[in-house]
Amino acid sequence: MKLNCTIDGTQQSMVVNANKPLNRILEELSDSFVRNHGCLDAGCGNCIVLINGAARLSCLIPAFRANGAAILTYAGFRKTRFCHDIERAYAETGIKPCSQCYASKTILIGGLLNRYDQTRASSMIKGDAENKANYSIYSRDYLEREMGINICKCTDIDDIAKVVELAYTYRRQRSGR
Amino acid sequence: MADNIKAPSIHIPKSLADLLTEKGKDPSLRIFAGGSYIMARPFFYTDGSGDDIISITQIPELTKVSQTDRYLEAGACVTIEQLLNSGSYLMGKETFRAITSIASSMVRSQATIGGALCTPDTRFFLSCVLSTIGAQVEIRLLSKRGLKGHKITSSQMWLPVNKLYNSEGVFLYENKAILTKVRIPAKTNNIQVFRTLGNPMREMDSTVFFGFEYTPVPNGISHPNLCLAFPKNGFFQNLDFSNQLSSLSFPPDSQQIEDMAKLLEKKLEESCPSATPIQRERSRRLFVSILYQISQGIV
Repeated sequence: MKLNCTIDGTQQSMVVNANKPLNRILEELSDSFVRNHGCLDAGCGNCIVLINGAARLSCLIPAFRANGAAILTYAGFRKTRFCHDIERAYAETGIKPCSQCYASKTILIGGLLNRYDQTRASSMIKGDAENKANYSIYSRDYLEREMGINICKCTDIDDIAKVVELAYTYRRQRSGR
Repeated sequence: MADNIKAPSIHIPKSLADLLTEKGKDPSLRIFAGGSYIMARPFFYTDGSGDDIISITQIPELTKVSQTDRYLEAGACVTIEQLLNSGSYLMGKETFRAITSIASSMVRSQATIGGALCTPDTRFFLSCVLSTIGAQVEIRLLSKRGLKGHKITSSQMWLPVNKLYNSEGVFLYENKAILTKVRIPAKTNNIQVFRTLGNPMREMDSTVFFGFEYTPVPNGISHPNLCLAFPKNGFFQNLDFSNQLSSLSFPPDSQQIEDMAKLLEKKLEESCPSATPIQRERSRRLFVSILYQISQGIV
């Protein structure tokens, strides 16, 4: 099939097998994209990319679902101001993921912050107050579950919480909110 | 490596009728909903099987959510995240929490309800949760008619979730039917308890999904419904055992709890022989601890 998508801001058009996982396509296009098939797919969480602003495991996305999508790998994400907020938070707190999971965790935090933004803009979940509390994206449980998709245990969840909080403060300051 | 990989064709039906016709004509078509299960199979891409794919996410009937005062009805292609968003008014807090705990939002927004229920050999937490609360599913059974079998007809039926699986947890309707809707009952005064022990993605042979629902009555419980799921090894929901539980007077003493635990062990051995010893032991201990918690009014 012919796959048309935007990868790191560049329009790409290529012919690939319709069921080819996106991580394999990205590996072939970019040398910097993580090469890790040791996990046998969906096991390590190192191939996370932003697809239309939402963090996704690229190994779970077949080519035919990526058609028309805007894909941002770490190579593209690191040039954005959103990434600078996170890197500033790393520097400020002195907490930094290891080199193995750095790219993936940074994108994951970027995806979380995008979600926080959406939640502020519109109440994400309507309904039962207790259910709403369980679902709160600011809770530690939520953060633990979201970050748990990457199996690397180099950084404690409380440390990640500090980074997320600080990065979000920077983001809000920058956008004047 | 790429030499042996066959490129599959992708079929994208726009209506349920198209889907039934295409699947009826070619049962080997692989149904692709969210893709979180299929894509995560080891060597999904490199094994070279290249079965043709039928993507069902653009069928309006399968992506619709509607609700009444009594239940929520969701199409099979509704993602778990959408279910949580639309069902938060209707679901009990324990059910809501259990469904939230299935995976991170990244996976929940990709995994669909139908996909989670119809995986051929692996049972996930959602099947245990929905089965415990008495959810029902609509399936369309496919059959070929006419002299040459060219005409595809389908018949519709509603089933409780537990009827989709045999005692070994194998999905009974693979390539015979298509799951189209799920009906989730609204919250009642029943009390629900859900637990997961183990990591379902990495330790399938030791993970236990536990679901228990009951109606509290003075000196006892009524309508108890216990459901146990073992990812690769079984699915347990036994009417006899539930009846025995309802005859138990509360608070039970430790001897009664031990007797019930032994009965559960026996029933598990009979109906889920493929469950591993650690899964049976974990189930027994979970059951005992929940009974103690109920008798002390903790849950």
